[in-house]
Amino acid sequence: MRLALWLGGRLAGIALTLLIVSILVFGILYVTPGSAEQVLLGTRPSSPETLAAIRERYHLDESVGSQYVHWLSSAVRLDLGESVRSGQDISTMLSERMPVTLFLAAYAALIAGVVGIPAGLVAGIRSGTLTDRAITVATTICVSAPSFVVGFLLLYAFGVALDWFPNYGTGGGLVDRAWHLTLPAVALALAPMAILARQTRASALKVYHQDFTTFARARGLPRRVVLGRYALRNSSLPVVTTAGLVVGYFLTGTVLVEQVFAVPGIGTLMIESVSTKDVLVVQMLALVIALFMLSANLLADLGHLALDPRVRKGVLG
Amino acid sequence: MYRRILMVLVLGVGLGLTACGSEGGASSRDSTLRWAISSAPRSLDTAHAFDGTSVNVINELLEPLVVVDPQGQLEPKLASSWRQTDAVTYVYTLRDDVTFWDGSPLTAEDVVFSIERHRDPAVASEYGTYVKDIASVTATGELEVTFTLKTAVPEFKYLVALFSHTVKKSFAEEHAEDLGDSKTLTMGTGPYQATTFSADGVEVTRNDEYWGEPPTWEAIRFDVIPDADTLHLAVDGGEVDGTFNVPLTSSRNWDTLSDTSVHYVDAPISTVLSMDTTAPPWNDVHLRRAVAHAIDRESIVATVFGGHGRVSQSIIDPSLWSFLGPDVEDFETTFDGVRAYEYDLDKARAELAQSAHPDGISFTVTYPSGRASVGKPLQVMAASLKEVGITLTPKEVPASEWIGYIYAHQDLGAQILAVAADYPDPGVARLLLGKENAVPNAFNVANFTSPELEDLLAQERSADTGTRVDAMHQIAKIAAEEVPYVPLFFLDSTLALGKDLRYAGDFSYWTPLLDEWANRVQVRK
Repeated sequence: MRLALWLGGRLAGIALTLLIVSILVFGILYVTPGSAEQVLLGTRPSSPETLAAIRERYHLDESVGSQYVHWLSSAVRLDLGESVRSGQDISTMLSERMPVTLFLAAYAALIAGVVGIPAGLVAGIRSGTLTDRAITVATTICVSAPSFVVGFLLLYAFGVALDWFPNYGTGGGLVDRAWHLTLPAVALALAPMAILARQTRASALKVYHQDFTTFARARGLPRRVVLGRYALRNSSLPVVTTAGLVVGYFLTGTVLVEQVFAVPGIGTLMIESVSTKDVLVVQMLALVIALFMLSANLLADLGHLALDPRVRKGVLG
Repeated sequence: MYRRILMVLVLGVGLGLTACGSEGGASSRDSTLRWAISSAPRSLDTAHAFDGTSVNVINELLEPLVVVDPQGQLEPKLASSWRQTDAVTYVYTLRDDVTFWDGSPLTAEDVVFSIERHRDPAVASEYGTYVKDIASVTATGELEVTFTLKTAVPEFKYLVALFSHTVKKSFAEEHAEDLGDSKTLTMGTGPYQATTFSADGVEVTRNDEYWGEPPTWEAIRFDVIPDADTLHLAVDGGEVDGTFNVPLTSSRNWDTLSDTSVHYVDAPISTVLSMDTTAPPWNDVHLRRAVAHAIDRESIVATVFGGHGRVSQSIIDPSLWSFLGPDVEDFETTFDGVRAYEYDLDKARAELAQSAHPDGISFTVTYPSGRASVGKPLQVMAASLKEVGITLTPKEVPASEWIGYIYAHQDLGAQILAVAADYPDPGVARLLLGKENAVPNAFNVANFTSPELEDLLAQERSADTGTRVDAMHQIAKIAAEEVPYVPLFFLDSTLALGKDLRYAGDFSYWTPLLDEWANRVQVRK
């Protein structure tokens, strides 16, 4: 019951945040220069009759408030409207583009987690050694290299010179898609991987020198139990929080990476839509990204509940 | 571990340098052409996809009544013949052997329907401006279509090649709301049939029942590669066979590709600097002339575009004169007596001294983001204008914001814009002139008009070629005297092809725009 209440409160908060985001995005797009009807008519002169027809069809002659209400009342009925740039249903566009981006984000998250967390753990436990310093230097490089620069470097090295991976596109089928998206996923994963490694290192360092870990080692417990049950679990709280934030980064970071690797996901859609002032599409993308971020944070908090009895007690009584 | 990754990277780059020289051309060629485009077509419905990329793709699928050949001459397509019976009446006779992809025969009804769609305000076609002078279009026979115009339109015979792409009437009516989208696709008569269309690009397959010459390719994949550097790597790696999207500002990098040949041809894509002649400071002709003299167009074309362009002296492209007919004088003589503005800082200073701003001025020119073909020239222009005391600040803004400024037609100041000719006729320059275009949503961003100019623009609409030529000559003279626009340069069209491919016939600006082109790309024997 307490959990349901807590969860309900959080979900209501998410809904309210989304509403505020939608108003802000709509308002900001409305005041930026450029007109939607010009996107609809292309780059050729247009007649007043055509303009009038377009304005009426897309409610462009109404006030910003009533345009927003139009959008909101359709959106809650899950009618997302159509793109002014292509005339396609936005729900179709999302269903076409979302899977690619989610695949890319999940792949990148996997790489970041599988490489970043163990690397951080090793660095934390062996702090001060050459391994630790090497990992620290590497993470510094990874976190500071812009993803599009890394992208081109990867493309040149593994796409053109070694010819191991394709240079662009998404491929069909699971294996082919993974092959196509490996380079973009690596480019996307590097910075969050480094952040995760740093975070894991810091908390492992702290936990590993605490009395209970020393005691566990003194009792002669096997290394994997000391590391797995004592060090990793106890150092995972800040890591889970970071992971929540980092997952949000995947959706925004993908804007640059998708552009470089010609991946037709929501990142490239965002670029196309912002540059042509495709208001409804930008609105929807902003909401999807916000929803993703908020859900990731909620999951991270749920993760806290599962991992830490103290937090569980605080929330559930 | 990271050290190892870094080593692989370094090694990879090293290998690349040696591997590039030794690799041969793409050896395993199947019969699919892989063509890179910068963005997916916005739609496969012509009414909502009048832009270069979409038109390139749609030209493989849907066919117009007539097409324009590489030399800019009209050729029959769906129409076997056509005739102009008087100044405002054009009659097209259709071929009797054309079928849609579903096997049904092409009728005059389909053609009329496809053109009427552009005339319907409810459809809001992007071709609206080109059909606005049509009074009626009717099927005057099973295989005959007749256009009646409201007034003589000298370039009408070419416009037909732009807007008459024919879609099957019953199919389009059935899919009135979603014609041309990724689910519905379209139904045409072309040599290739659309099979998939998504954000990834478009795939088309051979139409085995095609009425004309058998298509060259089993299939064509139009792959979307938005980033120019990624495109360069994909072409270098042999992953795509060709593209029209070679950025002229990095043509030097492209010219060094070992397995790709890049073709550059003259194109009527005119870049001009406009100055609002009705508002200060630009309502001062001496100031405008000072700017015109202080821009080194030669060096812009040579350094920014690697020489792949033409310096322009007039808003009318000299290469378009010849399309008026064989009896039109050579353009060199046609431009006789037209004032030219050579790069000369002393002349610029002298003009500036005569103006109301002898100490120079400061102004800002906005340009669409990512458009190096205007951004870089603006930097060069700023440097030489500085020499005479005029400060130009280029400002990059999002593309939608930039086009918003142009269309809003307020506080125009100075603007830079590139205007591409849609049809082979020097009259296209009129888009930049006159009252009719000095309004929102049109391109006379210099607000340039005068009673004399309006008269000449009216004469330019004459059905008599001689009258048109005289009028355009006068217009060119006035535009040069008054410099509402500083003509800067005409940029080349590009074609990059893998070395194992060749382009049959001449590559020309007109082909991918106004005709089917992929069948001309052929495997080199």
